[in-house]
This record gives sequence, C-alpha cells and structure tokens, in this order.
Amino acid sequence: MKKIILLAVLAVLLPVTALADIMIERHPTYNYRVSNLDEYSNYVFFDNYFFTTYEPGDTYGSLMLLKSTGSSNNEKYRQLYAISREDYDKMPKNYNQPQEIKAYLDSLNEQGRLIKATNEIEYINRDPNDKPNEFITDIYKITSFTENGFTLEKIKTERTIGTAKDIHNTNSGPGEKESNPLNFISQIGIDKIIISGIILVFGITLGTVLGAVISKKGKNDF
Amino acid sequence: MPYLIAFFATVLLEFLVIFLFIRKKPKILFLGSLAINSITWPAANIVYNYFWHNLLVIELLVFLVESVLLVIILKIKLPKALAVSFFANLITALAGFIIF
Repeated sequence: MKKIILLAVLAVLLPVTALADIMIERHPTYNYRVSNLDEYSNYVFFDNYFFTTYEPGDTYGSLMLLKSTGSSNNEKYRQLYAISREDYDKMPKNYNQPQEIKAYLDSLNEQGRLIKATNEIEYINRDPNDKPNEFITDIYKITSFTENGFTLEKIKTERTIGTAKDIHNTNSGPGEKESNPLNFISQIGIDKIIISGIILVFGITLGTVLGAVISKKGKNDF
Repeated sequence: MPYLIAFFATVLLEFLVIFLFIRKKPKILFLGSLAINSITWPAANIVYNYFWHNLLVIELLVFLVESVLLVIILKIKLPKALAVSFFANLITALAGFIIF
C-alpha cells in the first residue's frame, strides 16, 4: 500500500506542478488597433510605450521599446502620437538606440511638430470575464485630425480565441495567426508545447501504471 | 499555485462522489481518483487552454474517458461507471464555475 501511495504522489505531483508552472502566468492578450490609419498616409503614428512604424495598410508595424522601465501588463493607458512622414524620414532609425529616437521626438515636441491624440487609449480594460486564451483587440478610429491634435473613438472590441503570447513578435494579426499552424506554435511558444507534451505523456504513463496497480490489487468487489 | 489546488480539489471532489456511490475501500477509491485525474486533468487543461476552448465538449469527453477508466481501474460495471463519472464531473464543473 505504501508503494502505491508513493507512486500516486509521484504520478500526481510531478506533472501537475510542472503544468501549474506553465499555466500560472497565463492571462488574456490585450491589444489595440486604429482602423483608419490609411486615411492619414502622410503621417506615422506611434504610442508612448512602443515606437510603432504604422504604415498605411499595416495592422502591426515593427516595434521599438521607448520606455526602459515598466511592464506592458501594468500599462493601463496608451498615448498616441503622430509625426509627419518628412519628420519620420529624418528620424534616426537605429532601433538599438532608443534614446536617440526619443531625443529626436522630444525635439519635435519642442518645435510643436509632435501631434498628440487628445484622448488616451485605455490599453488594458481588464474584465474578470476575459478568458486566459482570449486575444482581445480594441478597435479605434480617428474621428478628427488637425496639426494641433487628433481624436480617437473606440468603435468595437474584437475577441479571438487562441492567444498570441506576444503579438509584437509576429508582425501579423490574430486571424492570420490562427490559420497558420506555424504561427499557432509561435503563439503558444515551442517551449510550452514541448513541456505540455512531456507532462501529458508523463501524466498518462504514471496514471496508467497507478491504475494498473490498483486494478490488480482490487478484488473486483465494488 | 491555483492549478495545483484545482487539481487536488478535483481529485477530492471526484473521490467523494465515487465514495458516495461505492462506499467501500476509501483508500483505493481515492487512489483511483488520483490515477484517473492524473490522466484526464492535464490532458483536458492543455486542450482547453491551448487548442480548443470548448468546455462542454471537453467535459463530455472527460466524462466518457473517466467512465471507461472507472470500469478498467475499479472494475465496476459500465452503467454504474457512467453514473459515477457523470455526477463526479458535474460536481467538479459546477465547483469550477462557482470558484472561477
């Protein structure tokens, strides 16, 4: 009986601890998108967290972290900015040197050439009902745009099942990711797939061994 | 570690339901619940979290698999195993809804 109990503890603790370790950090993936950037092709848009080269027609551009501290999970609001394409063309493009880009943007701001959104984007509107594997995208629209500022309006929220671990690594939208198996792997992360596979095999194997031991020990009198 | 707690809560609840039906050899029944859940619980969670976000269908599959495992491991008859598995999974699903 002691051997069975020991086997049972091993059968349960090892895979479940590993499984818990994998899943404990899971949370919904939040994102936002501005739907009508195509109408403002003379400008390049970015926000206070990432410098994002939103080109017309692109949903997600290449990204560069502007802030050196803080976590996107704690970033509740995003402030959007726009600069003219001429100013963007003159901007230092060394994304490994964000301070250079930030200094350039600061200089544009001092010259009054940094165009700010008049309202912030509520980047993470956490809802207790949001599922861990939901990909939640708030869709905004620019409703007015002048060189003094532009206004954003939230028009809808799209929800897709199947998370992207980090949308910014994939440079594509959630729909495309779901249709491509390789993108699906990149969403979950190959490390998690391998560990999940090991846990699955481990759990099934040890559960089967334990079950077989109980089955043999049982007197079939239930 | 909420997942570890959820796992043991599932094992315990399913054991209680099995024991209500069988009322013999609680240690063997508890180990049976451990064995069954060490197979179905990780599989169901991986499928639900990564591949298929359909709780109803996954619960239905778990119910069927656990019925078969109850027959194999505890050697009870299939109709009884179906009943035990149905109520065990109903209780754990309800508990899950209430807690989460």
